[in-house]
This record gives sequence, structure tokens and C-alpha cells, in this order.
Amino acid sequence: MQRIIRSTLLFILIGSVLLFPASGLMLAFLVVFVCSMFLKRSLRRIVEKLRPAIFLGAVALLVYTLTADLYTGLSVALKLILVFWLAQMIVEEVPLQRFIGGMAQWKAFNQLFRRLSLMLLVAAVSFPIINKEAKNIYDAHVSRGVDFRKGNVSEKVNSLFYFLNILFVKIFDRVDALTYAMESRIPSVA
Amino acid sequence: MIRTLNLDFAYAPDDGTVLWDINIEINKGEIVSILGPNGSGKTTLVRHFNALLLPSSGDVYVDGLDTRERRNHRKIREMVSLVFQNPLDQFIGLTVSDDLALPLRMRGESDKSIKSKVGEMLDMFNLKNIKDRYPHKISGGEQKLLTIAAALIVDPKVIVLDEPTVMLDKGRKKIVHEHLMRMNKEHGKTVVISTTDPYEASLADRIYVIKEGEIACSGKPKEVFKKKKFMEEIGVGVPV
Repeated sequence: MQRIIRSTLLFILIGSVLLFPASGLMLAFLVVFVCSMFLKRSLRRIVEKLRPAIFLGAVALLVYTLTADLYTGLSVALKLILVFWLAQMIVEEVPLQRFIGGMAQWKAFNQLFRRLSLMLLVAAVSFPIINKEAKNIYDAHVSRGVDFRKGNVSEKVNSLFYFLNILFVKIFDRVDALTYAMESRIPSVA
Repeated sequence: MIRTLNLDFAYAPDDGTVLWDINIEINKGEIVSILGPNGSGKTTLVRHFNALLLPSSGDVYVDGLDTRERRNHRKIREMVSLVFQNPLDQFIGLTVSDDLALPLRMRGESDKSIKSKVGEMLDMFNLKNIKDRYPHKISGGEQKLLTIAAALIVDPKVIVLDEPTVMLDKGRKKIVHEHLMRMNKEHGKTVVISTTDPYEASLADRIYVIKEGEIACSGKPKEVFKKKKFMEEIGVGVPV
């Protein structure tokens, strides 16, 4: 059963890469995904770890489908999930520092690899930040009397909308700050 | 070491100007404070010191290098380390020791050298017992010390701290101040502190008082804090 699901996922991924050939990076994701197949990691574990990314992907899909079109929505959502997926897989297999250190040693494509490794690092660092921000906002909402479980659908959607709105603003703020930090602390790559 | 000439800055052309005609000179080996109330433009100003922000008009020179020249940015940022106001904004490692090691790794330093430098910083700032913990999960005081250690590990000539002791208790504030003094006296680092706290500002050799994006006055702490009424008016007061 696991093998069937893995193969199906692989086909979906290949199909996605063919449908959305946005950049060579997508092919890199594919390679890492295939590698992870050989590493026989548990699918349940992958999905559990990717839950925040899947959630964000779903929101991005909704937002971009409404504001642009379904194709853009799918493309953005997929890319978002794939970036997180790649970061998560690499972090689990190799300690990130060792990975980045190894990449930095590659003289041939030095700048390219350093930049790529930093992109992965940002994704990896963002995971716990997003979780923490989401929890803080949720707690703040609950402490001010918002109950996400009560009320009719429209009330639930309304409270969720405010929650997501603040979460996105916070995430963009954090990403902005992280960019400044990267530029300041790692001038060789900035 | 750092010089600004008629520096004006606005975040966007149609936004209001945040900094007006700022002229500052920070000499090598000095401790200088930028003192001002919240929203006066301190953070915006100190971000010009390592070329994170570039002037809308006027110039900023770091050790003679013009920050407008993009090719100078790497050199400038290697010379000037910036400690951000919110520690959470600047962590880029997954553990405390990783966070310290990462900039060195990206410079291509050897494992041996990295290990020794990280060990030295962990010892100096008493962070050894939390070296494997996630930076976002350690206490606020430890986070602040980690940010300072992270700034120092790359051996900069200048360390710029944006409100280094905000939200810290008295004990932690004292530890941070002691470290900064030691960095200046023993290691000859130039220290720039942006702060709202007049006591913290009084530890410096010179103070620039900033109000609504303009330098309101400057001088040695004694001279600046003589103007008690003025300091009260702009909302920073004088040290007790």
C-alpha cells in the first residue's frame, strides 16, 4: 500500500513539475523527492511535518484562485509546499549546518550554492516561527473571548479570516526581518 | 569610522521623510549613543551604518567607504555588525551554537576554527549550557546575549546595537553593559548604542539626541544631560 501511495505521489509530483515548469529549482525538488523515496521515510511523518505548509498552500490556493486564476493558485500553492517539503527532508537527513557548510565548500558554483543553502535555511527557520506566531495569535484571540469552535459557519469563517490576516502580516514582517538579518550577518551571500 | 553627511531618508519617494539632515561622526574606539524617544528614527539611522538602508540624499561613509556603492557593501557589513532590536528577528540557526557558527561557515572557515570561536563565545557569554537549544526557546536575556555574541563572533570593527537592553531586567541589563564596556576597553571595538534609556546613553563617550528624525543636540553625557528641561520635553529625560 505504501509503495502505491509513494508511486502515486511521485507521479503527481512529476505531473506538477511538467505542468508548472517555473524554474530549474522544481527539478531539484523532484530529485530530492526521489532520493527521499529511496530513504524509505514514513509518509505519515512527512504529512505530519508538512501540515502547516499544506495549510498555507491551501490558503494560497484559495487567495490566488479568487484574485487571479486556478492555474496561478495551484502553481503558488504547490511551490510553497514543495519548498517546505524540500527543506524538511534535507533537515531530517543531514544536519542543516553540515549541509550548508558542505555547500559553501563547493568552489565551482560557490555563490549559487550558498544562495540556495540560505533559501533552504530560511524555509527551515520559518517553520517554528510560523508555528509560534500562529500559537501566539490564537492564544491572544482566545484570551479576548474569540471561540473558533462556536457560532455558525459565517462567524467561524469571520474569526478565521481575522486570525489568518494577522498571521500573514506577522509572517511577512518576520520574513522581512530575516532578510535584513541575512544581509547583515552573512555579507558574503547578500 | 562612521560619518554621515546631510543624510535624509524616506522609505518611499511619496512617504514622509524619516531622517532630516543628519550629520554624525563616530570615531574609532569610541562608544556613542543615539538617544531618542520611540519612533524618532533611531533604528532607521543605525541601519544606515551597515548599508542595510541607503540614504535618499546625503552620504554615509564607513571607514571611508561610501555605502551607496554596492561593491562596498560586503566590506562594510564585515566591518560593522548590527544587533537588532528584537532578537527573534536575527536568529538564523537552528540551535544556539549553529546560530553562532553559520556566518563563519558561510565565509568558508575551517571546522576547527569555527569550533574554537564558537566555544570561546559560548564561554564568554555563559551560554554553554544552552548551546544545543533552539534560539527561539531560550529566555529573553539569553537571546539578547546570544545576539551580541553572534555579532562579535565575526570580529567586526564596529558593533551597532539597536536598543540592546529593552525588555531586560536590571541584572541582565548590567551584564550586557559590562560586556559592551569590555568589548570597547579590552578589544578596542567601536560601539554604537541606540537607546531610549538615558542611563544607558550616559555610559557612552558621546551622545547624539534624535527627535522626530533630526539631531536635536549632541555632546558628552554631562553636557547633554545638563539640559534637563529640554530632555524632559522630548520625552527621554535624564539619568536618575
